[in-house]
Amino acid sequence: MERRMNGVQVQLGTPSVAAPDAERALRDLINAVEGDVRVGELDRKLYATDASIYQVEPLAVVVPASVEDAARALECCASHGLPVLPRGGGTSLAGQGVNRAVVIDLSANCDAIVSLDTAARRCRVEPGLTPDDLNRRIRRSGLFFAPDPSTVRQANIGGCIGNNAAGARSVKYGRTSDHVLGVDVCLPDGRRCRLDAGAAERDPVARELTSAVADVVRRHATLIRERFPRTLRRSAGYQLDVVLDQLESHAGDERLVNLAPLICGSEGTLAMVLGAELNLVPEPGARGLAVIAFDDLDRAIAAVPGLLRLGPSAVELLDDLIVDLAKHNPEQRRHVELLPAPAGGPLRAILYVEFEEPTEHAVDDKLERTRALFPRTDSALYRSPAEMQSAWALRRAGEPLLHGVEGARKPLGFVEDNAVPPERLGEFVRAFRDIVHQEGTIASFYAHASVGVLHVRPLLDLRDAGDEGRMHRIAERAEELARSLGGVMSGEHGDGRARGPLLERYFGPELMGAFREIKRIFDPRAG
Amino acid sequence: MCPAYQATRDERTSTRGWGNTLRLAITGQLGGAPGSPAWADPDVERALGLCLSCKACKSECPSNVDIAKLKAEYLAQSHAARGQATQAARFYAGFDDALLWATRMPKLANRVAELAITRRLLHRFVGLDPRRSLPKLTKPLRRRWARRTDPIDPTSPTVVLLADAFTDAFEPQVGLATRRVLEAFGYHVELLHCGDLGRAKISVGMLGEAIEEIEVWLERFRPFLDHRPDVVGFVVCEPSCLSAIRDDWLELRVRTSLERRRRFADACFLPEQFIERHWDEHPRRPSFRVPKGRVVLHGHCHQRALWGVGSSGNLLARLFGRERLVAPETGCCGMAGSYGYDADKYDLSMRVAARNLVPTVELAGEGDLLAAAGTSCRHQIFDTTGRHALHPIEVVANALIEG
Repeated sequence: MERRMNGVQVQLGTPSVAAPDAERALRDLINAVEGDVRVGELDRKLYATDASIYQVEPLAVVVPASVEDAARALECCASHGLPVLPRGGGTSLAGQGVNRAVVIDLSANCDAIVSLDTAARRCRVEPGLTPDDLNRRIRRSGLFFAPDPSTVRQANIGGCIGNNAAGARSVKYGRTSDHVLGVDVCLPDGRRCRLDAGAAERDPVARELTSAVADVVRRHATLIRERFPRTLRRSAGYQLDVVLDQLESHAGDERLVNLAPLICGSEGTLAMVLGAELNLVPEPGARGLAVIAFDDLDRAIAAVPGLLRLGPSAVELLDDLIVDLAKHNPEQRRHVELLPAPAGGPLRAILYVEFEEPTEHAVDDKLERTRALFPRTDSALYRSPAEMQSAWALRRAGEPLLHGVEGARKPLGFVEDNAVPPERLGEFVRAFRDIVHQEGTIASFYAHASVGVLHVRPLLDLRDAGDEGRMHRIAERAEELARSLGGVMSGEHGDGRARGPLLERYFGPELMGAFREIKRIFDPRAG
Repeated sequence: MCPAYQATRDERTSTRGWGNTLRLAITGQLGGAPGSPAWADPDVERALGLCLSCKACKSECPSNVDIAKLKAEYLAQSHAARGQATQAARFYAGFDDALLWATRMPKLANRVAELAITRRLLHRFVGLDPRRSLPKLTKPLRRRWARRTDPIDPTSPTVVLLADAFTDAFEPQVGLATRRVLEAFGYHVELLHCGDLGRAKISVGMLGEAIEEIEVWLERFRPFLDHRPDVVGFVVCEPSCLSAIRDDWLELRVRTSLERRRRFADACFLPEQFIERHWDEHPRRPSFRVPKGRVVLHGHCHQRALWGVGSSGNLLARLFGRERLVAPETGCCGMAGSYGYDADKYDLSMRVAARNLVPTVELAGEGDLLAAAGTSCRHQIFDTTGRHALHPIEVVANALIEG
């Protein structure tokens, strides 16, 4: 079982597996795969966590040598009935990156740009590439891949597709599903196909899938329109609403339906993505950033609708808990020192407002109009890329900084992904704060305010049974609250383990049944 | 971001992977005895062994994780549980003392080091990779230092050059360049040999021994701090030795008071950093000629994480103009002291270099100068590209117009 990795011949930990007949299955897997198959205890435990609160040990870990190798691994697992979980950078916040399965880590060796067509503004990539690496490598083309989750340096394109990642600029650029033209997938039974526009007319596997999906969507059309959230950001359940949109715009012709957007947000449950054709967008002529300090969180949130009328590419919110933590971090401290000071009192919240315009002049105009909205508050205006990068660094560090909170109670991510219409964000924050206070704790708030996504993390200690109960109560009440305001509990981080159990409450039993049908279309052996 | 992770994208070689490894080991979630910490666990040691101890996480990880420090502590606990440190750990920990002996007869020592049998033994017992070139010993700095007349005015302020073992044994020219520059700025320079200031012992987790060594050095430096008002600063050429004083010494449980350690740390600099920081106070201000090409600077990882690459770059930029300095924000070179010599880690070391170091080196064209403050970095530059890099203070010394 010894294999070379990084020049080290090791299995970290005693090899053992805990699946029926797994011994033979794993031997076959090791023979089938060119890359690493890791079954040692430590290796399995290293892949038992992602960026969520969960710890679930996989059966084994495969680090394939190529995408073809990944497909071989999946095929071998399928023949033995072993469950499979594709994984990228492991940055999922809701537990999508962990499962009792054979984890296939595509991040190490599947990161090529297969082709770049500058004229058509598209490229074809392997799933293990990070958006940051992609954009770095194609910088000279003047184009970039728009979705920018704060983990752009770690997350993989495959994971962006799996979770339908968005990011700070989604008010302008939308979500990953708006930029994925097609995907090459390996189905849970090992079959391969390309899902893109016109796939159903070319490929028999794609035709079968498309026709079955269209059937489910047609049968549930009314409920889909009734129950699916209409927020810009939504990543709960399978994206049946997007398929319905397609059916309607093609006058019901299912052969024209592109299933790639359905794969987006499916969290690795429908297929393993082996490649993607991506839409690229041109770099804007100029960018500018206004950073505005507030002495009150509510006041910052109340300012958002007015800012949205100026057409920003991003409006981001940070609260004082994160800023305080940043002051104690050697790298982030210098970014905090650049922040403006609010007029009224101590700093309680910051808004980042970014503009992308064709010219410097247009950016200056927008920045000045932003400043004019807050005559009593000090706002900092940045135009140079270096200054903007420094200011953004603090926002990007928001989530990881929270891990540094001292004490047993940590800011936990389980209701961190609510999306409501931006004009109802203030209402949501007030009610949410009440829920958290009633449970005897506090929470940190940071948000993609432009699209009404609030990343809120209550401070809880999961080693305390009382706090565990509080966690479940807060989760359920948050789901109700978001729903009552026309929003949804999974705005962009996806459902995963954290919010999967809330899906039935949100969508109702009929749509839940539809989701199960979709799952069985792709994975007939699923229960 | 962690340079090993950037090069491999492998959970095994990531800050998170090591953090998890430590968490699982310490909380008793690994190995046969659930609930009790798994010290001296060979898998944990092997996993942690892949960390470069470059300290990038210390400054870059927003969760304030310092894997190098945690790794050293884990290894120390493991040595204690095992009753003694591993063979390789003891070899590297005693390396600075061995150099002191070997440099008494550098030619003979070089010849012994080149023998096939020596390489085989080093490979077998210490894990030294046979593909690595070994640095050449030379007549050490301490024997090149003395000279008949001191041209400096006896009332000049003094800078103490703490001659680390690597500068002393392998690259005395860096120490001599430091003296030329400091003297040109009007200082009297005093040489004090200082081993590696505990760096190797700390990185292999021999923390008890490191603490003893640190106490000895602090005692030796005490008179300079307490009774020598003429001493205005200490300089150390090797960044990983300076970082020991300015970072590790402050965090270890050394008996000498923290206040005193901090006072000493605050007086220690890289030579070029000292010149830059005290720019307006130097007794003399020599002239420099601007080199024809640019200076491409690779920052040492500890330098970058703790003080910024500007601690070497700012002086070069001041003397030659900012436009002549190319100092990309790259991380660890992959050599990381003894790391790159280890046969188990040779491939990873090379991958890290290919991602971080080689692109920087390639920025330097024919007429450009290549500079790197770390002795390992310079060695890695040679092993990966065949090019010779200078210590930044050598670049400064070479540009000096003596008159």
